[in-house]
Amino acid sequence: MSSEALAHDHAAEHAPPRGLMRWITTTNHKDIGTMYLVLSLIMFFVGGAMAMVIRAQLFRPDMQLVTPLFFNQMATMHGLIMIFGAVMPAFVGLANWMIPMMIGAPDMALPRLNNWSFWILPFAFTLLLITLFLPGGGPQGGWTMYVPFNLQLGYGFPFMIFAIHLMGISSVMGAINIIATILNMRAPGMTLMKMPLFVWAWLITAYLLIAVMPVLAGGVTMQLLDRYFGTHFFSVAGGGSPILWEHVFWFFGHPEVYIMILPAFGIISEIIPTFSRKPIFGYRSMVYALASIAFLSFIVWGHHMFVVGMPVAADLFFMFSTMLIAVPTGIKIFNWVATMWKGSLTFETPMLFAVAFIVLFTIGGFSGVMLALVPADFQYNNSYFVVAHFHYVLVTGAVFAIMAAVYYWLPKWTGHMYNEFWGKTHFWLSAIAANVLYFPMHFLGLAGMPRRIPDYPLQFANLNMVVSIGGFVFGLSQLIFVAVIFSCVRAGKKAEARAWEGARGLEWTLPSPAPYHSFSTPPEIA
Amino acid sequence: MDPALTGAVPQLLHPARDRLSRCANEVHEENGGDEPRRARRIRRLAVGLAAFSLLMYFMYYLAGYLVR
Repeated sequence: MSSEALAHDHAAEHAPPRGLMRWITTTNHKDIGTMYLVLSLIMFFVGGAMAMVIRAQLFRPDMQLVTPLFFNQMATMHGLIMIFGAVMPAFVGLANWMIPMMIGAPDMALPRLNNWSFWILPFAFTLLLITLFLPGGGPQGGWTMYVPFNLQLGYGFPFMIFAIHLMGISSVMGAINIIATILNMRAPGMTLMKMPLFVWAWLITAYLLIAVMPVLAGGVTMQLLDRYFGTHFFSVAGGGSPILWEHVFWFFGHPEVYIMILPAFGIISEIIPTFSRKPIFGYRSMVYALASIAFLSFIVWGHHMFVVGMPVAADLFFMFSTMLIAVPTGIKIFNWVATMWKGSLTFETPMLFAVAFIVLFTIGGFSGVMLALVPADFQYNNSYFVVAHFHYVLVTGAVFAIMAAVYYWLPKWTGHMYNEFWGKTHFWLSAIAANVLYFPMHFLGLAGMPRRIPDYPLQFANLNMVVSIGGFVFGLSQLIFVAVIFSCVRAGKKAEARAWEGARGLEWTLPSPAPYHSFSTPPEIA
Repeated sequence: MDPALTGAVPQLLHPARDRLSRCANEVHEENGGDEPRRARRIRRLAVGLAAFSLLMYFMYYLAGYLVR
């Protein structure tokens, strides 16, 4: 057989099948990445619709739009869906799409495992969402699943536990794949210290996932055993302790917060140098800061539970260890600003989101340091101040980084440039609305408004109305995001291989859109 | 694509794995054989990480008993 014929056969063998079967059976990292991102977008709108219910109910006092029971279900499901359904799959989708291209690999190391990792998720979320239609309704005890509330759930309880297990299995399989890919599939010459920071961030995140997702799985299994098999892990009557759940949950929960922000740090570290037309300032310190943040995430869980009455020594330990996190985080923020310093800056949509990330995530970081102070936390605990804090970190932090990444890599994915005018319109509406939505929550919290309540006294009326208006505008402005993506997929100015003038990295050496199989011959890194 | 490399991993029939192993062969050409060293390393690493996650699952389950 001639080499031309062989090459032709080879191409035919790897052409994607057509129709539904392409997506069900695919082992291609780009297809799977796309599916993760689409799922994440759908879940973002499902979770967002729940947020709209919450904000409509809180628009003014005595609204009574939904029952308190349903309100609690909305608050709980909003958290679960946004964390496990929107933010995490979006980052895994970005990892799937970009990591092989960034390290010069042809695909992920374990492509079939990759397919499984994704296809578990739609079933997990179906299980979780159908609890809303079962007797007793969906989960109502908050995304933290605190006992005894969570154990009092109706028929939805085992569905929820099984859904959490499935999500955990999917995350662990995805993390194993990412680690195996990064450690084994790099192009010759790409040493660890030459890897893009997004890849570094994901390598560290994947280790975090493997270490803590099983902890959550173990915890919810203990809840399952308490409910159905007569154990008393969390039941005081049987000699157990509800506080044990808080320890187990937050041992998972705090690293989970960093699982949602470290990949965002990686994205920002890719975008800022591109639009500053300078290499990242302090590459090594960025890597060490990522690793330090990951390590510290394991020893700070107690700051979520200062008010349960831990020994003073434990309070102090968790307070100081939490405050330590400000050091590596500060290094990262300093390095991003130093990268921009005297750079040849332009402000396309990805850069606007990245700059907004730096400013607004820092606000969330500051309120985090405030919450780390034990005596102050006694005042802020369970108030809207906490809600403001974690929304600054997760929405104007993680979600803004995801949006920045989508705009940044969309030309590489679709082969078209997106509409810059509508991208910028989406950014400005989102940035302004997010601040109208979240900033007043600080004052509501400081004034004493508790979180997770379906109604409130008159004194909180004005600010709640402002917050709700911000929420509706933020929610509606995301429709522009969808429109921009769809129009970019269908048409638009042809994107060059290096879509952004200042972009560096292997992914920009591939044509746009990236071919179905990339780097069948590994590139050499100098 | 070099036919010698294409034939190097006949047992891995799945296109993506097949392709992956061919690339593994290109990078580790000197190893040759039916089972490139990198594919073995990937498998061992994946199994090791899965075992670690399983350990974490039972470790915290056990911790529940101990803390009671």
